[in-house]
Amino acid sequence: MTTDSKARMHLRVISPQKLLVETDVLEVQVPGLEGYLGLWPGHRPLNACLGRGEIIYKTVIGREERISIGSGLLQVANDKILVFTDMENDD
Amino acid sequence: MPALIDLRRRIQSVRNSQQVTQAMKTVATARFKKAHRLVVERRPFWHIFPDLALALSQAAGLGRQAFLEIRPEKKIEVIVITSDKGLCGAFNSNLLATAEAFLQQKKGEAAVAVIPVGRKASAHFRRLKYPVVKAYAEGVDKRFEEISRELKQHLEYRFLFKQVDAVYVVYNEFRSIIAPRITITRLLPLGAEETVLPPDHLQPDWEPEASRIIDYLLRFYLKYQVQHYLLESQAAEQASRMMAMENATKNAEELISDLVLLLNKIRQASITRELLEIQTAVEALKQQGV
Repeated sequence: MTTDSKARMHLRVISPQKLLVETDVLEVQVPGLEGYLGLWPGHRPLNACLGRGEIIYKTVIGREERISIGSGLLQVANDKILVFTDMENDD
Repeated sequence: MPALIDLRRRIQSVRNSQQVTQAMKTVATARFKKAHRLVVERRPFWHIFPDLALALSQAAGLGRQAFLEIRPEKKIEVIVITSDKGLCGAFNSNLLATAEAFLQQKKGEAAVAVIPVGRKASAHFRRLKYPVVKAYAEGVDKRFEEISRELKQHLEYRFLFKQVDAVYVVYNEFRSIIAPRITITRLLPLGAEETVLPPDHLQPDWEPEASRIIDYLLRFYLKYQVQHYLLESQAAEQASRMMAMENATKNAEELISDLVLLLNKIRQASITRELLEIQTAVEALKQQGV
């Protein structure tokens, strides 16, 4: 696990309609099924379902940004965070 | 030598066709832009989702589950996606030729059935001896949501109840405006023959348990993949039509300039001849001393 304070992760949020976010981030909070999860660099691999809510992430310049999502799926591996969301829509 | 009036008519008719092809090109361009935007925006999902589904299923060790089950291919279905309308160059004929070669190759090993999508494919396979399970011949571009939902349900049912062991799709993938790429791909089962383990052997955590996540994920696999193929094909179709009409317009232009050249030559020749005749007549009269 890395302890480098400049360590960053790569975040991608993808809906069936489009790529919503693709950016490097310092930290991320995602709406898990049982409350928010915080993710920092060096997180161990995780696959999880996400509930409705907001993804809050801090970009490399330190700005906090948010994006709301419907339910979805999260994969964390090797400091790469992949979120699929809004798959129930347009049915 | 053709008469001037015929040539003029001919030029006029070529000009009319050129106007039509020009208009069709404009329409195709507008439709292409729309279809292209759709495809480009949705591609990240289409390309990453199946990989993720496969990787997660393998990580979870559920190689035998539902859509992932690889059975010996005894019965297969092939979805062939073409356009409804023609006038798009070799778009359909190339695809149908490839599809037929593929069917021929598979025929030896398995019972093959076809699902043609698009009027051209439907008409084509009506004449051939392959059994057709289901056909969509009307308004594929307008009803694509409905069709993708129906296809999804159909495939889900057939595959899960083992009425079919594998489903392939033959479609035109939009690559560039110049030419689409004919792609043959296996839609079902999703599983790969050999397991690709991720380089790090840290076992991931699952929340909730793996089987529920995989179920949730695979619910969406078919729906979005079918949509993917239909939309790619549509974008490729509009691009092909755009190119075909562009070429037709250019050819018409060339034809017109050739015909106009010929027309002018003939006109000049007849003027020269008439002048000569008058001149000869004048000379003749002079010699008679009138």
